[in-house]
Amino acid sequence: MAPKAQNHLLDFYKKIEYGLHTLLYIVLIVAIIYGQQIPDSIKVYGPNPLYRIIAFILVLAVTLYISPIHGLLLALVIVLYVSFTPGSNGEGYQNSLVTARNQRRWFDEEVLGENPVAYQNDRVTTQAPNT
Amino acid sequence: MNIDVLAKIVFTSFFFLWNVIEGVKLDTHYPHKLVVLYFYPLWRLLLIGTLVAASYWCHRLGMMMAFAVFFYFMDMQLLLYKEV
Repeated sequence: MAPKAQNHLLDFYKKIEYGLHTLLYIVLIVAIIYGQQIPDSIKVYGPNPLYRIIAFILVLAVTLYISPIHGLLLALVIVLYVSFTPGSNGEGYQNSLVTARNQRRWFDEEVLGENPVAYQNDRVTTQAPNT
Repeated sequence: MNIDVLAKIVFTSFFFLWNVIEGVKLDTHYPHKLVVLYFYPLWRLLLIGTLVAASYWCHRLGMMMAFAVFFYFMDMQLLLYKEV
């Protein structure tokens, strides 16, 4: 690239830098706030190692070339996205609804000091996959 | 000691201890108000705004706050929405 064109590009970047960084802040903040509302069809990429590697490299790049705060927010977006990934339905559970319970705690809950306020049904309808 | 440095140490230590205490528990109990407030996007915006402001002030504090916010969001998500 000719030095003159490079200077023009750098000049252009300097002019839009502030607006670009502000826009990136807004996008990242909105992504964190509404991250849980992303449809499950998009969230399925969370467990894929390739996407994770790309995402973590992106965090490093943003931290190095934009700012550490942008990198921190992007890291938050990515870990939330990965943690919100829907669980596997491989066992074919049908009616695993979360319900309130009032009865006595189970033995393992007493031993481990757990005090749940809700649980998933202990009786579920199962079904073999691909039927 | 400079009051600014002292405040940074106090706030960073607070969030560090918060993360340690919440991290060692198998069953995390958040205050009822924190659970109810999670439904409101404005509350989440306030949290993230505070996180950005804290990160500008002190990067270490920002990291500790980011951990706390992440665990809070994840726990609320698991408690309120997640199936299976």
